[in-house]
Formats: sequence, structure tokens, C-alpha cells
Amino acid sequence: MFEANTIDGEYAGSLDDDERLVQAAQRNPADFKPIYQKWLKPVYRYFYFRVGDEKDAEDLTSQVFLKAYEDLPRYRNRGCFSAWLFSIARARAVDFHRKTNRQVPLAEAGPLPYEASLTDQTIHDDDLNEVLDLIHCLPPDQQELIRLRFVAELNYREIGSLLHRKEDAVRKAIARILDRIQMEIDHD
Amino acid sequence: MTEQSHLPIEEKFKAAIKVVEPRSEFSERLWQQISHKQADRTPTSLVGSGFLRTLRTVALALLVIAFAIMIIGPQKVVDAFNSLVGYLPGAGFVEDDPSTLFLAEPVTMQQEGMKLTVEQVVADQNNVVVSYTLTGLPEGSLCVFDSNLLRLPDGKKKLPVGGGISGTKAQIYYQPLPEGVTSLTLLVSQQSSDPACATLPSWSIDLALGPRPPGATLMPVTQGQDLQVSTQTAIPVTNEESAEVADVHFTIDQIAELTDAYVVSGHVTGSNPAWYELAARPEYILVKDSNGNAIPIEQADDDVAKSNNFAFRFVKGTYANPLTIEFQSVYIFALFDEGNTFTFDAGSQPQVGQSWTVNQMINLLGHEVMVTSVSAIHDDTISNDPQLATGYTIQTKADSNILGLGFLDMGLPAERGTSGGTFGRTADGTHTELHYPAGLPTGTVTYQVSDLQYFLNGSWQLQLQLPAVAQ
Repeated sequence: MFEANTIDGEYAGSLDDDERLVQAAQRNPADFKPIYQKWLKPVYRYFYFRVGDEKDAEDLTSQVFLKAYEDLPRYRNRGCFSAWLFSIARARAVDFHRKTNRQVPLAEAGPLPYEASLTDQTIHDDDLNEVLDLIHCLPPDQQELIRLRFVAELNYREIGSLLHRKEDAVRKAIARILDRIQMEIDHD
Repeated sequence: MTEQSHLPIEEKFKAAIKVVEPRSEFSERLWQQISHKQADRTPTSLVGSGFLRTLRTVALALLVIAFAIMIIGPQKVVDAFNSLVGYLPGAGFVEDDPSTLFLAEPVTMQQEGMKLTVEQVVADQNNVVVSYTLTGLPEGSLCVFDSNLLRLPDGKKKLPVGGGISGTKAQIYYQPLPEGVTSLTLLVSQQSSDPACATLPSWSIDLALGPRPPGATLMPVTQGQDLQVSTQTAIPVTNEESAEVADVHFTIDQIAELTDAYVVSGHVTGSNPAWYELAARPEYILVKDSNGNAIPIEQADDDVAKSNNFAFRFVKGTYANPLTIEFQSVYIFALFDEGNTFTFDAGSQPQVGQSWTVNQMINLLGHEVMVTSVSAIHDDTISNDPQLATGYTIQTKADSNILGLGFLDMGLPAERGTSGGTFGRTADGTHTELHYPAGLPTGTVTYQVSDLQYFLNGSWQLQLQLPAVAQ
């Protein structure tokens, strides 16, 4: 059986999909590549928006994937591979902040490193800055929900599993945050 | 489950976030680092293992089942008068409506000695169902083409929401198509690590949909007021469960009459507000005619897409009406807004390996569960740092129908949270792990039960009048 997981109508993987990839990689380490390809961007983006620095985000991303690769044979089916992967990521982020005593709110991340035309960059930067300004006032737990949902692109079930919160509660919490941001935009 | 955007801010946010990309030099360098580590690892060979033998047996059995399904003879032509739903063999229950789209004729593609034939695609207001057969795999191959996506004309892809693959046949469900979409591409591939599978080609098949073609005959379906079903009787196994059993409602929705069989579909719901999801257990459905003769049934869940739906089929015969359909068990996933709590004193410096005896009885929807102990653990698959990836495991004693429990830490600051962890059965109860990325909480720790998964046993019975056999 399958479970759908679409984000903005685009394929973002599924829980069954992950378990299949994990099982393949546990049998043959060379098959870790699909996992790497699938989760590299979400993990990197998650760190980028937590630490606000490209180099630090790369270091932390490397640590997560090397750790995940090493421990994959011992990974037990927790029903949610992404929750395990982001548990490692969150542990790394906590360790990073503990060592550097530095926490960058989502809204302070930037500038953006990416390969795009100048025109595209201007448009995207404007869009992003507008959204980030609105999110700046959110409490830390709500920023984390936004990071996990939109930066890491986890679905509600995965976030619920990661944070040990009910899927429905996560869905409602994120909907409330977005409603509030949307209302602020509409009022401006 | 589809998670659709519904606010412009979401679209804007998603688009803006996507401009953040890891540098290609970085991603290549990191992959090289991982690849170097791969040299130290030896793939786990399955050849000759019991696991492989089991897979072969299962594959063979599925193949036999697939052939058995395929040899069903030509279907009788019956117009589906007085019905908005018809049954299309190979596609299940579909809306008999002018807006429902069909594949005009099977589409076949051949590659490297294999043949994939899309037998039917039906897109109605509820689902898209795609049925195909894939034959000609190398002899003895265990490769399964288990990645099945639908690509829309705008490039977006749909993931399956139900259905599955059995032997050479696949019947897969997707969310409904956006209005106006009449063409699709079916993308079929396999992701196995088996080198013999990795060489097999992927499939990309364009499909054009239109009105129901003359050859796609819908078999009659009885539903709604035409369906004669008695009021459900519910008999609990124990007195303690009587109220709970009475809250479960099985419903028969439709009966399709095929040439040589009936297909019955329905769903199960619960009136307890804590119940989030229920599912019938097909192995616990019994059917008898009014003379008490048991009627063998086959699970037909390929014909339904939703998790709380069920379907089964049985061959036509001389049955004395009405039939009795008995459901003996239901799976329930319950969520609690204000679940029971328990506490333990972790002290000022809890250490991994330390355990605390709790022995507190909690009552969950009438089911008694004894929280026996809490232990501090360290999961080194998440971090080797003993300060990180530590957590508590909550052990309970519970009867065998309790599958698992979820807990929330009531004292945790909102910005910290728990993460990861497992839950499930032990020999005499359950275990639930909660990890604390920021370190173990100290002092009095209070946990609240957040969810419960269990089987509820009972005897839910419905009398069903078989519709007259069409001549």
C-alpha cells in the first residue's frame, strides 16, 4: 500500500518510499545515494535557516549524512525515516548552538547562495525577505514548525513523529501560523 | 493523504525557500566522502537466504493468484440502470457519469522483452484508478516495479493513495484529476538494489482519456435505497467493552454483480470522538447464508481506496437469503486531547541505564494499562554524544490487543520538544521511547497519553439481501 505525500503538488516522497530506500541501502551501501539525493536539500536548507551561514550549514549537513550513513545498518524501522534523519539534524543543531551559543532565527538567515540569474535572484530575494519579515516575530517553537514544514519539506505526520506531537495538532498549529501571517499580509 | 496548499502565503513561502540550494561542489564532495566510506562496507547478500526463498514463494503465489484473476471469463453486458455507480472489472467501483473519463483502449509498450499493458484508467470525481499488467520479466526475477507515478500535463506528479501490485497485475489509486485534464503519463520504475533489477528499464506511457468506450462495460451495482441491509447488531466479547463495541458502525455500501461473483464493499466508522481512524480486518470477516452455510470470501481491497473501506468477493451460488456478514475485530487508532497522565521523579542527575519503577494503572477508553517503569536510554544511532540522543523508555503491561501507546512530556518547554523514538509491543505490554535532543529532563516528569492503537474485538453483524441475479 502507498501513502501520498505531495507538497505543492510536486513529488516529495512518501513514508513507504523512504522505508524502501532504507531497506535497499541497508542491503547494499551503494544504494545510499537515492537517500542522499532525496534528503540533501531539505537537510541543508534546514541547517541554513537555523544557523544562517553557508559554511556552517555545509559542515552540519556533512555530519548528518556521514552519521546517517554509518548508522543506517543499525537503524530500526521506526515507521518514519525522515524523523530519524531530522532527529540527527536537530541533535547536531543543538550541539552547534551549545558550542557557539548562537541561534539564528529563521528571519535572519541570508544572503542566499544559489545559482540563478540576477533577475530571478532579485525576485526571489524580495519574496523571501517579505515572508521572513513576517515570520521574524514568531516564537521559537513556531519557527521550528515552519522550518520543518517548509524548509525541510516534511509532511505533518513526519513532523508529528519527530516532535512527538499529534499529526492533527501539527496540521492545525501550522495552519494557524499561516492564517495569522496571511491576515497580516492582507491587512497591509 | 494529500496536503494541499490553501493560502497564497504558502505558495510564496515554498517558492522563496526553494532558491536556497547547496553548492554543487559541496554536494559532490560530500558524496565522495560517503563513497569512500562505502569501501569499508560489504553488501548484504540475499542470495540463497531464507528471506529470498520466502520472497520467491510469495512471488510465485501472487503470480498464481494473478492468473486466476485473469482467467475470469468475458463479462455479461448489463446496463447499470438506476445506478450512478458501476463496477468495471479491473478498475473497481466507478461513477457512471458523463464526466468520468476512461482509456479508450489498452495501451501497450514493449521494452527488452517485457510488455507493459495499461488495461484501463478511470478518472472520476473520487479517484483515478490505473490498472496494468507487466509481463516478460526475466525468469525467476523478483524485481517489483513499485514506483508508480502519474505525471500531469503541467509536469506535476501524483503519488498513489491506495491499491497495490500483485504478481503481474497492478491496480493503483490516485487523487482525482484537476478539472480539464484529459492526458496523463504513467511512470513506472523499480528501486531495488538487486543488480539484476537495476538493469531493467523504466516505463513512461502516455495515456489519453475520454468518454467511456463501448468495450468498457459497467457491471450493475446495487447501492443506496436499493440495497437491503438490516440494522447492525453489536455483541461485545466482554461486558466491559459493550459501550465501545456499540460505538463501532459497519456499513455495507455497494454490491457489484459480476458474471460469476459478487463484490461487496463498505466502510467502518466510530462514534467515539477519540477515535481517529478505524479499519476492518479482512481476515476477521465471516459470511454465512440464512441456512448457516459458510460462504468463502476473498479479500478485494484493490477495489477500494480509503483506509476505512473494505471489500470482499465471493462466487455466485445457491445461497439462502439473507446473508449474515459478521465482523469480529476492528483496528482503532485513538487520539486523546486530555489523556491520562503519570509522573516519576527522575532526580537531579538522571543517568543512562537508570530505571524507575512506576506501577501506575491508567484507564484508556476502558482498557487498563499498567505503566510499570521508565528507563533512561541512549540511542547512539542518532548521536554518539552521551549528552545528546538520550531519552526515556516507558514500559507498560497491557493485553495483547493493545498495539502501542504514544506519550507527551507535559513539562517540556515548547521550543525544545522530544524527537524520534520507537513504540510497539513487548512480550507482555508496550514500550515507548522519547528522545530529548537537549538532554534528559530532571525532577518530576509528567507524561500524558497522546494516542493508543489497539484491536477491539466483538461481533458486529449485518443481514444483507442479495440482489436478484440479472439474467
